[in-house]
Amino acid sequence: MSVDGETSSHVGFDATEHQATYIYTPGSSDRPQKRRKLNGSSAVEHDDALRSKINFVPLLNGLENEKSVHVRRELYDKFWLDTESQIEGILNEANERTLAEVTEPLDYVPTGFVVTGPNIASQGLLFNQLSGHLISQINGPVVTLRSGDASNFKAVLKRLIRDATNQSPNEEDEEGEGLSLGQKGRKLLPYDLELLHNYVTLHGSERVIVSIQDSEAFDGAVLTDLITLLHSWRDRIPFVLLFGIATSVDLFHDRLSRRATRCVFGAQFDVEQTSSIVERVFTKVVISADARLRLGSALVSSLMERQYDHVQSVQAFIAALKYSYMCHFYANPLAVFLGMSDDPKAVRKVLQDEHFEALRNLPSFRLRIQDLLEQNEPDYARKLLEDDEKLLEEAMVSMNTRDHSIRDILRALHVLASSSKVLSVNVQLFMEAFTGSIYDSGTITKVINAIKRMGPEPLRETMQRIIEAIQEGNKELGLDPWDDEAADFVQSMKDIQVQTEKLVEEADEANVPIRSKYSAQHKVLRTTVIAQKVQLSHDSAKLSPHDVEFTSLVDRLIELLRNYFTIISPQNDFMNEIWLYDYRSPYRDVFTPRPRFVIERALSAPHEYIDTSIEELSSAKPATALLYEMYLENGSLINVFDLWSAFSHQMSSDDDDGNNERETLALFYRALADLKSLGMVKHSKKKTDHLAKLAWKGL
Amino acid sequence: MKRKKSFEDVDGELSNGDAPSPGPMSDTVDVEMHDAVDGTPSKKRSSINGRTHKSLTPSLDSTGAISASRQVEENGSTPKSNTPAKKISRELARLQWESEGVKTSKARVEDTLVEDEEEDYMDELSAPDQVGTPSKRTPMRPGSASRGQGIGTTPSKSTVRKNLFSTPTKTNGIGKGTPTSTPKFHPTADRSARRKTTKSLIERTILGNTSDNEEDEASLLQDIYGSDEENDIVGGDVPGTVSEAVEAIATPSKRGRGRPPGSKSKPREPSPLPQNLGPAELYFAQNRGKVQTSNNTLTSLSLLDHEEYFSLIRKHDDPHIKDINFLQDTHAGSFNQWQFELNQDFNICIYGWGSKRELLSKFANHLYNTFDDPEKNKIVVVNGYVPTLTVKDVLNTVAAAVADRGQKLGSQPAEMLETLVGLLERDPSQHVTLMINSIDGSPLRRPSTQTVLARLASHPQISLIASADHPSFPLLWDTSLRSTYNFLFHDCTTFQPYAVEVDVVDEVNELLGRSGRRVGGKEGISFVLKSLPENAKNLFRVLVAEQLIGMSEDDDMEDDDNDKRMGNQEVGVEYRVLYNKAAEEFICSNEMNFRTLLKEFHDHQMIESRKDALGTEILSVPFRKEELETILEDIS
Repeated sequence: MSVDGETSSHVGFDATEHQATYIYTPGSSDRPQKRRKLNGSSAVEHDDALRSKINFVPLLNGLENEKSVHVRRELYDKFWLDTESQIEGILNEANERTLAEVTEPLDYVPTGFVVTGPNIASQGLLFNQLSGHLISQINGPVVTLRSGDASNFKAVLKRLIRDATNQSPNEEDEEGEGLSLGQKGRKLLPYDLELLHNYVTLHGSERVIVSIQDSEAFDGAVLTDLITLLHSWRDRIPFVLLFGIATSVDLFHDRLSRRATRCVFGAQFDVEQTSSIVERVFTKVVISADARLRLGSALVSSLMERQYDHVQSVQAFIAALKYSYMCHFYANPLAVFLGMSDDPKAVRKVLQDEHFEALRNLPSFRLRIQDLLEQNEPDYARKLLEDDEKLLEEAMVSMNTRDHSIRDILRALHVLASSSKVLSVNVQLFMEAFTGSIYDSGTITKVINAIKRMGPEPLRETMQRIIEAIQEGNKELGLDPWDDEAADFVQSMKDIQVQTEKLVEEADEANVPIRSKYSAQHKVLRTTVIAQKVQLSHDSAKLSPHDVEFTSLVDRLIELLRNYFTIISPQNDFMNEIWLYDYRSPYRDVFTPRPRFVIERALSAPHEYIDTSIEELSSAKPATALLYEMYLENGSLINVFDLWSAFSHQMSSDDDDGNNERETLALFYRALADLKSLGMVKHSKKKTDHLAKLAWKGL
Repeated sequence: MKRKKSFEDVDGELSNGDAPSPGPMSDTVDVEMHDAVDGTPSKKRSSINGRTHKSLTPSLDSTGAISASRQVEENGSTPKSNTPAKKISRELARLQWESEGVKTSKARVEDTLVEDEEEDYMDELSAPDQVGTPSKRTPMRPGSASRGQGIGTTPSKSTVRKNLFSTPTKTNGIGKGTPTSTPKFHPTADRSARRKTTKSLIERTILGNTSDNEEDEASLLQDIYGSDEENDIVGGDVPGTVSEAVEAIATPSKRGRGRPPGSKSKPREPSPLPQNLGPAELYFAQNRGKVQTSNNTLTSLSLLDHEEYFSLIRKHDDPHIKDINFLQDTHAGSFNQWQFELNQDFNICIYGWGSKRELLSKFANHLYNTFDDPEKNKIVVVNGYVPTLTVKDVLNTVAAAVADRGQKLGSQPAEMLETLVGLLERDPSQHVTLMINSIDGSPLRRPSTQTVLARLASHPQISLIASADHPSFPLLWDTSLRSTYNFLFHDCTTFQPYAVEVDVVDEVNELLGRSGRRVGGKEGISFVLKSLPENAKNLFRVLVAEQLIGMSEDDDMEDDDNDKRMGNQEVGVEYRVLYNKAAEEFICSNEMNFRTLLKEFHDHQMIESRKDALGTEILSVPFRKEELETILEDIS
């Protein structure tokens, strides 16, 4: 028996299972015999891998041809690289300012306080950039210290010296030897600053920059010691300190001892806050006219919510954006159509029947056909349904109109923003316009009402701003000047402007003020007392001829603007599925996991994952799920024996003998150990053979 | 002797309840007693109760008789203390009111026992107060209950069910016959326990499944109940799911380990929880008051050791294996996507229920097969659940993957990381896929380790795919670490057993407080001791003896105050005390010596040491009392 057990125990035993770390080779977990076969097949796959670099899966039920897959992949690369470089531009620009600010004064200030704000996630990036920048600017080592490396003073010094002296990788051992010898030929300890001193004199470094990335996380005593020690060496080693501060300089001061405070003298630098950077990135890559892939409002709102409420990090935002791009091109076979605007012929080549089939199955296509039928054009609808070429044409047209309508939205928004002093084109405004809810939200009405009440001079200025906006465009939004396209609009704008000016001159001569009938001064509040009751009534003051003329001008302007602000959102247009990405679920699942929920669900409802109806009722559940169910029903103290009897009762409801029970016991063991490893139970000392319950489902 | 005294107290108190309340009050006492026995109070029975009670007393065995006579004496004397009596009478008044209410429904005289019990059961479900009430009075000191029961309750049974006449003698016989060998049986013999017992007995019989150890339990229950009642029970459909059955089993002894009534008013037994509570409500409901569980222990169950466990588990074939494989294949379907994600500088973390080791090794295989150049693309697998793993191992293996062997990285993880990054950057075409099974495994949980891993993972030439098992694994990382990791999370519920990750037997032993089994049980201990010098043996003997003394003191304390026991930690011996003892017995002459001896025990995991709230070191041998006793016998 035991011999059998021995031999069977080796079957399926995997030596790598209990090995802490190893380098994977196919043989290490598979049988060696398999290896040859695998190699053979991998050789075939190699060719594929080489040809199409990477491995998007053919979609359309696997019928998608290889070229089309390839096009999708290339489109992804291109689109994302574009977007990424835009983002990088913004980031660099944002940090560039800080970097320049920080670098210059370091020539004469021994200490810098870089106030980064509460977002510690982006501190790393900033300090990396900073040290990279500084290394290129100055002659001397730059060391970045993090709190994680600084458990005690000695460790900090060691790290500081090692990093500083190791900075140039080409000079290694011999010099290291030389450095480590003191003046009298004795060997120096690794935390002796004499080492650094030797290094500095050897290399003639002008400065040694020590940046402390997360100063708040450092132990106060360590920091104090470090500052005082470095200060005492300042006559020999030209130290410059940089502190990353998330809170404020005052708080930082409070943590230092007085002696250390006296050693620190420097300037404060503020870093651009994450939120404003995110806003800029957003404007550039989501809103602007050159955005390659549009994100839908649902996704954007959850993105922004997470950004503001939870992570506050530019990197997280970029990662989310990137993932949206990845999802779209990986999972949407029709994404190839996005390449049409650049190179229609290439796209046409890879299209196959299935593409058109898929195109005709889009909900937006059905809408389009319905529209056509309503407009009484059944012939055209039939053509679209039957003729691939016609469909392609239609698709191209629709892709173009999409670009136009987006641009129109942006222009309208830009004009809207410039006609109001408080408004700017931000995410929210864009999303409102995009989903068509901008009228409901009252933004436009508010702006127009404000214009109505304006006097002649502000009105003239506003019109000037609008005209300028059109003539100059907006770089951030990717809008070029479009005054030639909107010539009519600009012209009538200018007319109104001229007439207003004329009116103002005339009024000046007559020495009367001009107001439109909408302005507040024209409303007079009257109180009448009738039968001891006070009656309030509004009354319009009488309008002078100038006023009447001005009012008509205002009305014209309002009419003009209203027309201009009438935005038709393309979000439900034909092919919107292709250029609009609006799925929240992959984003949510991938970036904000709910592991506890998932595990609880798997255990409490295993039938959602595996078929539990194969046998009679209870034992069909996996053991752990069964035990978990009992666990949930129990109070905060669990008697193991009772648990076991209930468990064995459930597991062996039908015929059972002694053997079976031992097997059930083994399963019980496993289930119990599982619950323990999930942190749900622990040994209780309150009573013998009892467990303490630690987790409640759903809490 | 001490124990005996406590019995009398109880009896006294019980009778105290009777004594000051003449007339109708005494009647209600009887009603209440019925209630406690089987929950079927009826006027008819109670009226004859007094008589049967007396007539039965002589048939009890000697102890019972003594206490009965005591009771009579106590009846005559003045109550020892006023408070319990008052409380009881108050309680009785309430009971009377309640039983009046129930009476109407219960007035029908039962035709058969089954009907009776069924109704009782239903009543209990429908009227939680019924359940709650008796518990107020019933708790007694261990042991004492059996007598109290013999006197107070059995007779009433017999008045209705003639065939139960033999009951009292049997109960008491057992109670008397095995007081030392099975002390745990005493507490269970309690009045309301009997009622519960009946119920569970019926359920048990009707459900008709008595496995081996259930039979043990059944016989125990029968002992309590003390009759061959089963015969009377005709099959019927007793409603009850397993959980209810558990409760039923759990309840009887709940009382057994009670305290003397009146010493502290016991909270009401929680009424059955309403269904469909929200998570928060459920939490509070389950934590309200003192949790009461049965006193059943695992003594009757022979536990598994590694060998048996593994042979059993190997024999077991999972009925779900097909589904599980299907699930696995479903996840494997997204390998391509994962590869793309890794390729785009994301790292991946997969989570969900079930072992993901196999899935990851399949993925490793998939990756390996798609590599253009296996020399430039290495896969390093790390098993985070291996207890000996250190972050240095990880770094060293990665280094070995990118460079020739013998590359020295340094000694500190941070330093090693720097060197490693330097190595990587020497050849930008090198790429390493780091695959960490259980990144939340205990060896990797330390923040400093996670920092190193995160910084490693953020290197562009390294891709990380990790699996996480614990439900709260995201707590390992703060925002900074999380953004360094740049994880994408995928739900991979595999339902695969954690065969390698979890050392089942050890974990369960630890859960059950039997970590001593790790040494190999008593045999292991004596084996180790054999190879140790005489001094060590003596020291161990002293330690065990001291611990036993501590335990028995603890037991006594239990009698006095339950709460104290609850707060009490596992018993042990203070380091200083043990040292002094050892010095007294000339086992060791100085502390160094003493430490050396202890070290030996520690190495063999024969003793455990911990610090109590005051910081004094407490040493203990991780065995239960009975086992300690045998160990002591073996070595002395």
